[in-house]
Amino acid sequence: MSIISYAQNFEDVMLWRALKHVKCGFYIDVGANDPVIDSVTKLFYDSGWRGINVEPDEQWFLKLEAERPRDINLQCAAADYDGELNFYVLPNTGLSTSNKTIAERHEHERNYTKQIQTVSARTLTEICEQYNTSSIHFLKVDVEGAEKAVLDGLDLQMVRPWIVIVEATRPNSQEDDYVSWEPGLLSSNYKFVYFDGLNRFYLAAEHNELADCFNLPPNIWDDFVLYNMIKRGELGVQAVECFAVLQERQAQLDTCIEVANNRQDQLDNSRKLVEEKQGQLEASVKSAEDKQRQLVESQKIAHVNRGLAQRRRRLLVDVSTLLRWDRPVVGIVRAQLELVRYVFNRVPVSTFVAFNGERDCISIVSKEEVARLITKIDSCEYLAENEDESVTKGGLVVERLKSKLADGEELGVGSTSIRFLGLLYAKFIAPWLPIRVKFLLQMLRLGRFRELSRLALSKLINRRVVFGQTKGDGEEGSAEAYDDAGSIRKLNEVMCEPHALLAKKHPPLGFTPEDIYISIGLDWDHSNYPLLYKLKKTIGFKVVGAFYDAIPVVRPDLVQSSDFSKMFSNYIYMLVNMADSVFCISNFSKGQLEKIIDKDYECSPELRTIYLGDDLQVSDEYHEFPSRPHGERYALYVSTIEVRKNHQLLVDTWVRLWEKYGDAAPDLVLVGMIGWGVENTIHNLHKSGLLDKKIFIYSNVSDGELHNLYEKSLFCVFPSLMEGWGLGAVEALKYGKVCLISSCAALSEATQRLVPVLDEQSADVWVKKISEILDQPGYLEVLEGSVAKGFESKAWTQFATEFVEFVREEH
Amino acid sequence: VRILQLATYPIKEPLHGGQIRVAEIKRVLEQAGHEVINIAISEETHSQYSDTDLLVSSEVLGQFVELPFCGDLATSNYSTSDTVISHITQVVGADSVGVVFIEQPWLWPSVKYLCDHNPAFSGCKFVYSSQNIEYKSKELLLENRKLSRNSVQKVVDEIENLEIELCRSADLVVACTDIDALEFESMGASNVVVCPNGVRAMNPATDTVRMIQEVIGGEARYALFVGSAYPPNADGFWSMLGDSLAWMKPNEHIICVGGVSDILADFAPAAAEKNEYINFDRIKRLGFISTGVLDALLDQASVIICPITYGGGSNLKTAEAISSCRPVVATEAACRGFDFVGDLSDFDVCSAESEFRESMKKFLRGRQDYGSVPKYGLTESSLRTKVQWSYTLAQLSDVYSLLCA
Repeated sequence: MSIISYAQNFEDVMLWRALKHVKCGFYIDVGANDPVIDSVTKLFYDSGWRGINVEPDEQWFLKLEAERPRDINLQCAAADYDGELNFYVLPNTGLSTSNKTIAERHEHERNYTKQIQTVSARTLTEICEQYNTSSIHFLKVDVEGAEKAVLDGLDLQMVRPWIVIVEATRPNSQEDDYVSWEPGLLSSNYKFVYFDGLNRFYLAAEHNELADCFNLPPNIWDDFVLYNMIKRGELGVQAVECFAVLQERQAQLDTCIEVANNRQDQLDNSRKLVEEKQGQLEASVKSAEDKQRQLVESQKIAHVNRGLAQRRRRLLVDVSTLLRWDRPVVGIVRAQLELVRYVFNRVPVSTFVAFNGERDCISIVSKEEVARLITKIDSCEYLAENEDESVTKGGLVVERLKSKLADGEELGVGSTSIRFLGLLYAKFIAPWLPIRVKFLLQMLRLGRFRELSRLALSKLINRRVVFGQTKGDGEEGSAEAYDDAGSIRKLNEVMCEPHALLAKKHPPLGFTPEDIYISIGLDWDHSNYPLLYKLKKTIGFKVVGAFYDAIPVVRPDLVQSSDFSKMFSNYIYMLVNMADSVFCISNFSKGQLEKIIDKDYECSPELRTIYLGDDLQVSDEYHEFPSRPHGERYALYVSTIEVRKNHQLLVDTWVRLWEKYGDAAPDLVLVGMIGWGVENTIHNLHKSGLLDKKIFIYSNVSDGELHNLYEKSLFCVFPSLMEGWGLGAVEALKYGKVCLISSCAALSEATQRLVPVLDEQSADVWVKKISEILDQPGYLEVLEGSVAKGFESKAWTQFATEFVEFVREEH
Repeated sequence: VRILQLATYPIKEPLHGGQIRVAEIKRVLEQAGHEVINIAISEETHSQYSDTDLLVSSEVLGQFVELPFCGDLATSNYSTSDTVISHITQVVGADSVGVVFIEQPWLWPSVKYLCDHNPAFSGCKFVYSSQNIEYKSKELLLENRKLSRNSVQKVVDEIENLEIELCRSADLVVACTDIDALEFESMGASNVVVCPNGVRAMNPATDTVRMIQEVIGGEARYALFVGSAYPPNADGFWSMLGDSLAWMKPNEHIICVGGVSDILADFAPAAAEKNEYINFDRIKRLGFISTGVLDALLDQASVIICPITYGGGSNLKTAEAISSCRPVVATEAACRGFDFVGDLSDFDVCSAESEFRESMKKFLRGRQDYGSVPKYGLTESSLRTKVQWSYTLAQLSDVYSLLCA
């Protein structure tokens, strides 16, 4: 079994080699110091030995006392006398000494601080005597330079340690320092046997058998381990323990890391899961989007199918208005023309139809005829045709009026003269409003006149009633009123629906239940809704109609005909009852129709606002414009000349502008047909002296010329009292022109709220605004800038496309 | 008993409610074995007259009352004239008259005169029969006509006095409704019986129905409005159906039968003028027709309307509607005297315009169960026969007992 060497320089190994055989041996350790570290006796103590430890330093003494209970621990200095001495303690070192010089040197050289203690001094002889030591196996002396005094205090003759080992170099050096005390040993019959570089070993002569034990320095055969190594080993163990702890910690850490990793994994998994879910979600979204797309596609397909069905469901487009129109196309007629053009070019399965002049029969119009019609309108043939009617090509409408005036015909002052009205009606109103007369004739033809005349006559007849009992139309007196046959005849008359008879008499050829009948023209003048209603009921086709405005109903004063107002009410009644869907030209108009329907009607056709187009179809083949007398700076108003359009306000405005600016005032160009209710306005205009001087009226203006007029205008005006849309105002914006408009809601909607809105009742307001334009440099450009920036134009093709889509969506 | 029946309208071809009531009373009395002499002192506004009737021109009547709608009062004022007295005397002859039935109060002055001056009338009993409280009806009729309040009041007072005097003098008062009966009692009548208006049992001919169906056409629906030229009929029409008939569909009509056809336009409110074309395309004014065709029209109507909003008496047209077994939309005023209408199927009583219109729409657009065969149970069928003359006038069969009561 290996021994543990605690000594500083293997001293215990050498001693153990010599004395290991001694059981329970005895030692004297002078300058014992720490009981373990660097201890020469520790190995032996642990092997069962005991001994005397002499240590004056209290620090070590107490430790010895604590750890060497079997030993005799003496806190004293071994000296060559018994008494006291100064002991120089260098704390926490093994360098404390009774040698002042050495202590001071340590102090000096190593910056220690010595403590002087007075300790008891005893000779080893006296100590051995005290403790009656019979056999001392080895004496070790390490007293930091006081070795001689120690040895001098031992009577080697009396006390014969087997082996004496003495530190033989100066403290902390290799310098020999045994000269002073070795002679005493040698002389006491001790034999120097070994020097280990620090200590010199002396063997009592009587134990010379142990001399061989000192032949060799410590080696592997001594089978020892160094305490320091063990300590290091312990440290290693501790390190190992620490390492283990560390490992444990590491393991814990690893566990934590693992947990963390697991968590991370879980997190990763979760993330993965989330990502998967995200993926799934995205997939779902994608799927939903795909489905949405599929749905859209399906809808498109359905739409296409509907379209196909639509193509199977032929569009029957009514061209009655266009066929009878022989003037420039504006407003409603323009809308019909552009729809017809679109259907003609792009909707293969379509047929064009029209009522005859009497409106008692509807029949198909060949495509060749429609093509000719479109060409005729586009090429402005109507202008040439109207030349025969003395309305010169693009000439002044009021030429005839002026000539009549020049011929001395007087105008009524303050009120229109009958002659003047007659003139206006015969020359200007009647050609454009033949329908009024035709309407009455039609009533006659359709049996309506009988009803009307009956109503009128009834009122006259009823004047006979004096005392409350009415006689009616005398039927009570008729014998046939009381027999069944006569009564049935009466019922037949009363219930007679001429339209039903006509529908039976002239069934339209080739109409089918799959057809969709479209009519967006001036139907109150050119169509026959009761007949159409009967045909629809009989055949079952769908009907799509148009609603432009309710002006004749809402403001009958503006159409100046109570009869027309009543007829228009009936037209709306039939429209909403007959049509499956109705297109409206503005939200304003749509709102008006909704109000009418909500108030009285029991039907709900699908209503849709589709804004009209604004591009003029300018023919390349018609460049020559008539020479016009107006000046270069002019305001333009494109609109039928009728009371509703409020030309009177413009006349008043221009009179004041003339007064204010004279020749510098811009001209006013009015483009449009003369309609109804403007006799006073024309009269006032003539009276003002501005006609043909500052204010010019043109009719029969081609699209090409209108294009030219718009482009060259300074600005445009639209003071109408009521509108459903206001195409003229929109066209102005299309040309980048500012258009001063009235406060009509539809006008604001049509002009996209980009232009000044003025009180249509106040000429002062208009004069002021126009003055601002004339007087403030750059003001007009600012207004035009707003128009240029904000105006969204719309092609007529787009209108027609939207319309046909609307038709297809709904059916 | 020899009975003289006096009225201000002829009953040769009874058309309006008053004529029909008088004719039916005459028939019941005759069926009870009495001799009934009917004389009408009538305006010239009717078409059919009997030999016993006396026509009075509007020029003559115009001398008595200036206000419109007062021909009856003018007749009353004219009734003691020599022309009237001698006409009655001549028709009655020398044989004594046991009972005089005075239909409405107008001819009371002549009866009073005859009792004082004609021995044939000595000791005769007086029966006052009326389907209205006339002074109230006249007041309602005149109050919204922009007439002088004083002149209206004068006329109303005169009629009221006439009615009070007659109530106090009559041995029997035949009222049309319970309410009227109470009114008569409050005016002094001591012996009042209630004989509501009724209708004849309808029996539309199959051929006529078929012809009607052909004329009307397959998809068309109609509401039937039967009424006389009595202004409340026309006023009620516009009040309950509104200024605009645009709520009706183009295949829906209102067929007007009777004198009301001729006054509808006159009574149309100003607000309806702009809708004239719409309205009169929907309204088919038929005027007077045979009872056979009327029965067929009743039989084929999607709904029968009774829109009268004021006017006294019970409405024969309402009774006709009840008897027809067709759906009915009526005002509360039109249902006066028919308190059981609440127990009838498909019978809507409406007080507001919108309600009336909605009810009409319901029947015009609902399932059409045409046919004269009653579709109702025995109880309801029995209720509906209550409106027939044979039931409503049953008490008068024993008029003598009534007079002695």
